[in-house]
Amino acid sequence: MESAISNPAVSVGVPWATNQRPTEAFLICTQDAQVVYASKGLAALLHLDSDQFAHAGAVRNQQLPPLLAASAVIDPPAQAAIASRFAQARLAQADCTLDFLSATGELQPIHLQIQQVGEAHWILSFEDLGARRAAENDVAKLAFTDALTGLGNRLRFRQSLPLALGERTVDAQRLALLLIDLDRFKAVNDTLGHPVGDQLLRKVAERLHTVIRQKDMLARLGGDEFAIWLPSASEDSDALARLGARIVDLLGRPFLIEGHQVNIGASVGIAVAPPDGSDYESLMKSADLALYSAKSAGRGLFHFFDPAMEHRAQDRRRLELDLRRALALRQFELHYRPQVDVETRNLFGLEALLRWRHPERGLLEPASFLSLAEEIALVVPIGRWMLEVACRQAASWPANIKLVLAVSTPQFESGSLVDSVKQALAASGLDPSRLELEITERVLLSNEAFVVKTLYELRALGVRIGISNFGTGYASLTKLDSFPFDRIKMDTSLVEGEIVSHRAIVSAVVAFGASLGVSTLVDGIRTEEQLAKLRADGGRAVRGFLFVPTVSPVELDGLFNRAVGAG
Amino acid sequence: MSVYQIVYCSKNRIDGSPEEVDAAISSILSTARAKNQKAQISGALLFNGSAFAQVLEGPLAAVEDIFEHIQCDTRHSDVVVLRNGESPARVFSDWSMAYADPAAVGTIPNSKIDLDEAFENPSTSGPRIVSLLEQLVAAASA
Repeated sequence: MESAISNPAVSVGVPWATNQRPTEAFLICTQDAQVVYASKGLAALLHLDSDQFAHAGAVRNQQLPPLLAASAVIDPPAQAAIASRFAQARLAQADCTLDFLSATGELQPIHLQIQQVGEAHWILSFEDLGARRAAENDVAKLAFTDALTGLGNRLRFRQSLPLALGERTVDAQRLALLLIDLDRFKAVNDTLGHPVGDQLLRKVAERLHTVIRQKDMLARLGGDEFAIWLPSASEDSDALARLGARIVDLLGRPFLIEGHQVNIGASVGIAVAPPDGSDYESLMKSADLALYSAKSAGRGLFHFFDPAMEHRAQDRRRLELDLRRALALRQFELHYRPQVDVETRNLFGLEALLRWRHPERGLLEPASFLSLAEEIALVVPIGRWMLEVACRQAASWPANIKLVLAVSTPQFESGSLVDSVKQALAASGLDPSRLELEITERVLLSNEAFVVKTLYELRALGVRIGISNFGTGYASLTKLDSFPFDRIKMDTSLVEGEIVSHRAIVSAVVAFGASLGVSTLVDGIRTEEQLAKLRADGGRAVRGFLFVPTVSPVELDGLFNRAVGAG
Repeated sequence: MSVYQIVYCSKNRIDGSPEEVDAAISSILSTARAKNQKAQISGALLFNGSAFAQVLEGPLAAVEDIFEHIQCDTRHSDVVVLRNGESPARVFSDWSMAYADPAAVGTIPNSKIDLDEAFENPSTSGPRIVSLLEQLVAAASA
């Protein structure tokens, strides 16, 4: 409801209907064209002397034609048109509209609506359509602009690229699309905060601006993704390669923001229309594949699209589908790597290793599918399966043979590890002391409270805990002190080569292990010579596994028999 | 009054004859001097023929703006920041951009080595580069 006070028409005794809401510029007059009210907005729109409107009484009792004639905006033909339209409306007792151009320099269209109110009054509402269009343009501009950088946004990019593609087909020139992804941007946001991250994005936008031409389109697609399309790109791909290299170089240079030196990098994927796609979707897809390729090749690179990428992506999709089915189709197997004591040459443990018997590709090692499994969140269910099956198989081994099983980081962090271990032990009847779970040093680096709690719960079940890949992460020795574990397994990389500093680490870790009363092992000793050298450097306390080939479950019996025979 | 200071080194990417390189350096210096004066920035540039080292000092926002501008310049690459942070006072307060050329660099023993080492050990080289530039500028104005 209109309030009585704010409704000017009430003050002149005109009944007001809520659907008759005039624009800011309006006047009310009687049947015989006597003006009873004119708004301030009308004075502004029609460029009327505002003194006339200083008090409402000034315009009262004035006739409509002289009032219109006083306006510089309405020229005589428009005055005549308004008068005639008003006469028609009165005759027909009906609302009507009229569009006319303002008489000022800009020639803006003005829309007039004539509406009857009550029995004896009329409202004439004027609206500057030019102003409305400008406002609409502003709104449209906002919708197409990235507020942070002032660049075009994804919507603008999406709308302009098909247009550019259309123009390209007319002039038969090539069009290049570059997708740019910042490397390590998230780390900046996380460590220095979003305001610094925002400033960084603005500076990135400015740097990118220095590499484009007037006719190129640069947009921020969102987050840390930018894109450029270049119409009439050169035939020679060297020019595009130079541009790609320049972007990688520019964004890899240090930024200085609020006194912080910020170093990021950029990966760039490049696709060219028509060869790599002639519509928005296919060109974007090609550039995206090129970007993915640049990122997986180590970041800080630019890659051109290559049809082989499409095949690789298809392979990956196929592998993903196969992997999702592999558990249900029982295609996974466990193989075992014997752990043989160097002193006694006795078999004392078997490390369970995952293998995938793929129907077409044969027996696959985890390296070829584990990162994919991690991406599609299959690592935890696979780990659970490994625990169940390995415990069941180990329960039938000779009692002096331990089962060693590596726990993946996602599995450890899933929060369900302790329950899975409990269930696997209960279902198999395996003596918990025969199970040794290996976690990597990296796991220890995150969320200490959770790690310590989980490790103690596992120890409470009676299982043993080993730390593997020791020496590759950055776990401090003081931190290790607070974790309950039974064994340190140093990383293979520490025993390879002749590097003296590695030997120093090996002997330091051996001494540290001895002081904590845990055994220290070195993984990956392949030859007697390596062992001899390691012992000379690391001391007599070094123990290790001699390299023994991995065996499948059916070969285990033979191995046990030999072990008994040897022992 | 404390002042913000940044010290960086970078590799020369100006192609051309010695005369063309000289002309490019002159143009860099005159642009820098005009800009720096307006922005209340002082500093010094060292060039040994293959690499640059530069000190910029002034209000933080102005130093950041100039540094960002320099970053977009294709005439150098491999920018390594040797030092950035507050400094108790300006070292080159009399200079919008003092310049030590390859000939001047030769007059101070070990200056070539210092600049090469800056790329290898950025964290320890900042103060050394500043003092080297300070000596060169003092020698030139004496």
